[in-house]
Amino acid sequence: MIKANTFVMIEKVILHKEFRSSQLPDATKAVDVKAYIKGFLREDANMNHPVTIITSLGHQESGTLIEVHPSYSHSFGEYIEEMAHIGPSLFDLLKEGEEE
Amino acid sequence: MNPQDLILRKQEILLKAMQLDYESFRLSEVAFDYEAMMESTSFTMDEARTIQHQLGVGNTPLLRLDQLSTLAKKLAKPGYGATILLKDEACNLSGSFKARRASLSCYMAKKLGYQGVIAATSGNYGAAVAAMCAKLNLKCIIVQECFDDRHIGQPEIMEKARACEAYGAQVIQLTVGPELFTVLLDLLDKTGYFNASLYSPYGVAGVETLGQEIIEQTRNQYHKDPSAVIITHAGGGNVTATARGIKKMKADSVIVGASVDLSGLSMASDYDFNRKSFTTGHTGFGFPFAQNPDRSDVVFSAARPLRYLDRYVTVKQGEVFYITEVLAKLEGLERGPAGNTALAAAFVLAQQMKEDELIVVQETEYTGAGKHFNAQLSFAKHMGIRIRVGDPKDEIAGESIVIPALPSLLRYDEVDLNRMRRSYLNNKFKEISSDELSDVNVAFFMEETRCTKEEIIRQWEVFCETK
Repeated sequence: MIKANTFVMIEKVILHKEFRSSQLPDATKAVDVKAYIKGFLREDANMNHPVTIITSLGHQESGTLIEVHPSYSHSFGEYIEEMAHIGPSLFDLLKEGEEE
Repeated sequence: MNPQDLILRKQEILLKAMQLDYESFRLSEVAFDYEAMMESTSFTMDEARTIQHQLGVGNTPLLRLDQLSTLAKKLAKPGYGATILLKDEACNLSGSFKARRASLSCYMAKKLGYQGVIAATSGNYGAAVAAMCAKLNLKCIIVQECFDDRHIGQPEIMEKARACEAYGAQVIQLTVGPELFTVLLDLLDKTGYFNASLYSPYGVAGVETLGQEIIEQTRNQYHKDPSAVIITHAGGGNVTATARGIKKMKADSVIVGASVDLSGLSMASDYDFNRKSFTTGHTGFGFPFAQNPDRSDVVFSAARPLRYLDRYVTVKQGEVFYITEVLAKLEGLERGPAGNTALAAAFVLAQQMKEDELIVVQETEYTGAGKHFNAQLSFAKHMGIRIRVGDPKDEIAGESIVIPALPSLLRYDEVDLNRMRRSYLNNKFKEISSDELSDVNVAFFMEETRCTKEEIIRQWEVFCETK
């Protein structure tokens, strides 16, 4: 059970796939248009159940509860060995012709 | 949401959301008075600069990239290798030149009495609008195209959502598709907020100050105008307004647009969406918006790149990542990468220019978690893109990213602007119901494409024959 007033994220189907334009690429028209919105739960609720939230601007939105205390997990990535040669090679190039 | 109803009511919703009567500028079913629309912003350049100064925008440093220029000179033939200057737009509030675009829009929203502002953008513009709204005490909603159907999102867009929320905006994240525009209309209709479109006269005019500053700075610091100014090109506002500012200073620098080559990838595809490592500054926006500028969230776009582009070049994703690392290692500047698209092309163009010439790269953007090239390249690897060191000409967007082995391997491809002009004309001709091409339309197309009257009439005849 998730308590009312908890900060959460909901998933909401904005447009079902059957109403999407036939001009869209196949991979796109095969799926619904979904929105992800954050806000505070109006009432106690369970995960993956329909809920209503109040956004930070005071607007009401409804959808499926998918995340509690949504946070950011993007990072500076992993070590990329394909970028490692760049710095050292530049210093060699800039030094060329300057030592004679 | 009822998409049909919203599209039918588009004009009415946009009029209420901007208090800008686009129809008053209309000259024919395709033509409108562009200069009158731009003047309707009612800001002089000095007023725009005063407003921007109050909002922490503008007066950014123009940095000389000494070591990068030396490297370009070493790769050029004797007597060649221009000095590369970089306008450090990351110094604006919110970390990019987009603050210039947001500043006048949000200022107008406040002046006109709106309670809040909405913008549809997955880019730096969202953070810029959110920051301006914070400073002006306006509510802010940013709508992003963000995830594929599996709820996987580009790390760069995740970072931009974070920045928007840091400045107090409500972010609505959508899955891939052009329905973003209908969602925007729905939100404008429901909230009564201001539409801070990137393509409104305010959204574009705010960047004219950037062109003006570049010319002032090169005149003050180097006692000459730059031979070329190179501008990362996506929706067209950056090219249009920088060039307008430069022309207002009566400088005749060559205006060069640069985009990342994403040919072969569909921007509306749920599959391709996460197989590109650039979310802006690429040909997926650069080509269609040049060839059909009025495809945006306003009636007439204020961004009209074909009026201003003297040249248009493309570079590969791997080349932009490469130059981003070079910028950090040789100049102590950690920026981008997307904003460094023009820098990658400038490094090659400088080698073809004489050593006493100046080339200005007109923007940088902040970097950070999600945006950094290691975040981008890690994400690309997870999406199945092959990353390798080699010759970037072998890169295939959506399949591979090739990091140049050596700086001498950087190059650019020249885009045929005449072909773009013909494509633009054909798009506009389709909207004409008459069998005749009126004088009003011919005059408008001459301004739009910089083609002669004869060239436009010839293209019309070709169009009519093939119709």
